[in-house]
Amino acid sequence: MIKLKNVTKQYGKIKALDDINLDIKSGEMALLVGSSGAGKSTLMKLLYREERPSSGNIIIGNIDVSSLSDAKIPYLRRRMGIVFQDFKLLPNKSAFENVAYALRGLGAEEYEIQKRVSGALKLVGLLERAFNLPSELSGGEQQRVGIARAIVQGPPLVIADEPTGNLDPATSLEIFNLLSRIAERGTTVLVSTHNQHIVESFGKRTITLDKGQVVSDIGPTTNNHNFAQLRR
Amino acid sequence: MKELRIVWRTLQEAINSIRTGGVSNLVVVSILAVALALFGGVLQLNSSIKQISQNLDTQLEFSIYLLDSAGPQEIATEISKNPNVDKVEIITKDVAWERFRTKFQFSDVAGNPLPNTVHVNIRHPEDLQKVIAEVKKLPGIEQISYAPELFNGLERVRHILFSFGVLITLILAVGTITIVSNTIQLVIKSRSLEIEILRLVGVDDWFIRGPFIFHGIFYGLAASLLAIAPLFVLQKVVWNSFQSSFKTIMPVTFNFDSGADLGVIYIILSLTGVLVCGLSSYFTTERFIKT
Repeated sequence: MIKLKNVTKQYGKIKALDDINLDIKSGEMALLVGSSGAGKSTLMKLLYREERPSSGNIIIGNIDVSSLSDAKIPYLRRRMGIVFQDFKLLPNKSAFENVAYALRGLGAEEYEIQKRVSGALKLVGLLERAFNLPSELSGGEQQRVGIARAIVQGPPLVIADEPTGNLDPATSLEIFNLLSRIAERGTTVLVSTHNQHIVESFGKRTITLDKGQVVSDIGPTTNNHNFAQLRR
Repeated sequence: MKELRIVWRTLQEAINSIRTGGVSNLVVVSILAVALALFGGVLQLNSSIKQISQNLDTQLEFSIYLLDSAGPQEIATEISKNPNVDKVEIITKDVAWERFRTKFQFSDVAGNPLPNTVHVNIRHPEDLQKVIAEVKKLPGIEQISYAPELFNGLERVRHILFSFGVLITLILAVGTITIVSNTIQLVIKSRSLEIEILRLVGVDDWFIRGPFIFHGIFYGLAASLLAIAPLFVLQKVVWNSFQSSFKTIMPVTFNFDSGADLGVIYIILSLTGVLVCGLSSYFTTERFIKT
């Protein structure tokens, strides 16, 4: 699903990413870890074409993102869901309207919007709170609305950039569980985080970045049992 | 169908955006209306003067003012012998004075200063100068007044007014574009989160920019409608009353009515408002909303 070949991103003389090679398969869930400034957010931005690589190729599905024209960016982004650290919810719209907002812009029919939004909110466990404003929801609930918005179009790829950066450990775990369940349904999920504690307990493929380079890429382990310890 | 839904939702977004604008909309529309009213006023005045001067240019009539010693009947008989002359009418000084006094409710204190007048109608406009040259040879002629003379004067005035008006309009147009652009920028800034979300979920560029462009078009349309109202009143009340007074003191008769051009002027004004504001919003969104 995601292929990076010798990707470098340079800002002036500073290399934010240096010769990155990655291959993330369809339906796989991978965690991107690293300290602040390691290049996680830059990599995420390259994936949804907020930035262009200085060199190298990025392929998502069958789209060559690195050479994609500006006019075609919307087509790429419709094939992925993006989750943000700061949730990016519209404060004057209900949870339902926040999720429905993009679908309206994409010209979906009303009955389809109702069906899809209800389905997404149900999946994230917020159907009962559909008509609450973001200010009436907890941080974890707001992030679940953000996830519902990311998956409402049924994209084959979900990218989450530090989705638990503003949340407490227990809520963070809930969000990771939710993203994991989404991956189990066949969606490729890439999550960036600096929460090493959760990463170690989670047992998913973990790619570690340091100073713009991949320093380790460890496959999934079976230590999911650590969840219970974390909860305690 | 999908495209229609998107257009409809773009319009709805524009309406919401206008609604949340509140009083600032009123301020922007008022300033734009003043600029457009001035532009419309220039067009209207230019059109009216042009119509008058064109009317004068094709006049088949001229007036001869006689010395008191000259007999109007003799001169009229002499002129009517000319084959290029169609009709001759005598307005004696007493009739002219009576008409003037009735029109302007003037009291007879200083005696009648008006001369005996002969109105001459010719058959073809190209013969005007030839007939006038012959009339000038007759004795007892004090002055001859004919339309083309007036036409040249009016044309000069029109050119000056129009050039000045266009200059003022251009200066105001720059101001108008700046105002619309700044207002749309503020609206874009206030909705930056929405724009960012729409961009990131892959909504088409024109759905994101559309509401702002419609917003600008609304400003142009509302301002031009607001500008048309005083222009219409100005034309129908002020100009019409002016022309009815003017007719009585003019040496020649002609039709002043410029009503036929009003519709065209108002359409030009509305299109200008819509185009200037729409394009201004278009370029502002292009500059401030990155894909």
